[in-house]
Amino acid sequence: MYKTLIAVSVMLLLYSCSKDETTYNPAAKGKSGSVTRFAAHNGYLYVLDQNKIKTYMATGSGEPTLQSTVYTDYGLETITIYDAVIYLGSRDGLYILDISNPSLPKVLSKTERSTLFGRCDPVVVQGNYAYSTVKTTENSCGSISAISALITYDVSNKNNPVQIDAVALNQPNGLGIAGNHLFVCDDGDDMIHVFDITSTTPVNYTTITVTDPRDVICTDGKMIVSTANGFWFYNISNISDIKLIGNIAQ
Amino acid sequence: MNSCRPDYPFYSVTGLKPVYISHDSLPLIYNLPPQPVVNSGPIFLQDSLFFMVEMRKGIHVFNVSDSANPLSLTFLKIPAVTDFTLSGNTLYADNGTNLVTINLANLYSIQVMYTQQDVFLPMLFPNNYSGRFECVDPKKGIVIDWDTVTLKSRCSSSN
Repeated sequence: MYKTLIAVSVMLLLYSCSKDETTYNPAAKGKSGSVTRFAAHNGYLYVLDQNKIKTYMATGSGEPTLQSTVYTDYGLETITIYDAVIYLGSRDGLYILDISNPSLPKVLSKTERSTLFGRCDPVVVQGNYAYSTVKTTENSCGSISAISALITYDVSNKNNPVQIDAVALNQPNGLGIAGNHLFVCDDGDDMIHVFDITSTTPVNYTTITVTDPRDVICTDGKMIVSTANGFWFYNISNISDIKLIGNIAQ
Repeated sequence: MNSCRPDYPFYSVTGLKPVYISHDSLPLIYNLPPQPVVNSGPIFLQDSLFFMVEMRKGIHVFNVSDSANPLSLTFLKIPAVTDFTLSGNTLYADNGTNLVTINLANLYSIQVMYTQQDVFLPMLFPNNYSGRFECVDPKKGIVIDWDTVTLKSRCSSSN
């Protein structure tokens, strides 16, 4: 009996030692940019692939196991998860998916955007409003014309999102939110547009000159802007005095 | 109607040609010293680490705990990568048509834990481009880049 006790204790000890935990802070919650087809949420991994969203159970140490494949129209571009709801930016609209069953996302709604065929379409959400940039190109006989915009949606009813505003932009890319301000990359104008969204629909506040901005991450009073060949760090804790802190640029 | 005739002269047009890597090269995933950022892709911030894709080549890792002095730490070489996400110290990325799960417990010596095949559809045409290009032949490998070349065309209609 005594030998069994020792054997069991040793086995338990070995088992706990072999479960090597992470070396950097596992409690740290990461934040992705807005331009991405991948999202990890509560032990699940969601990935987009043209006309489908694949859901994997992904607990870190275990092999990801495919739980479901949900088909949509072609043109899925970006994913963001806010308040346990999935928002997808696609070429012809914004999708809202319910994940109360996290292994099987359910499409609740899709906005129709009949006249604009967007590309890139990153989405950010805060409260009852979603903001998305669309970059449009029409190709007729080899010519390209771009019609691009920042679109505001009222998503208080997940079954019926409604477009409530559109602001024309040059070549918008990724975007981010910090409190009452929205930061939108504009590759065509080489700047970040800073909008005041206190009243929901974006109002021009200021601009920051950045060459080739692609995406932003806003967190803790700071903003990282990625560009084609590097990134720039800004202090945005005082919005009336945005300061460049540091950068890596080639 | 068929507008290709043997007696039509060849004419040249500038277009894009796919650059392939072999399927055998896809699993070659390992650390390199810091590399220059040339064509950035998706980004992710976790704690004091900032990750940024170098399109189709790998993922840069920076230490940004001192935002005035970001440090380039290492480069995760992942052939054909275009996108990724992080959860704790597990990184999930595309790797051609594969999904790879990578353990970052040792940031300078990453370990591929799992590789799942045929998760993503292969890239068959260049993004954000309208013009001539040579069609992708998946049997030649995985497309990781597009070169601007002079394409030769015999037909008068678009291919």
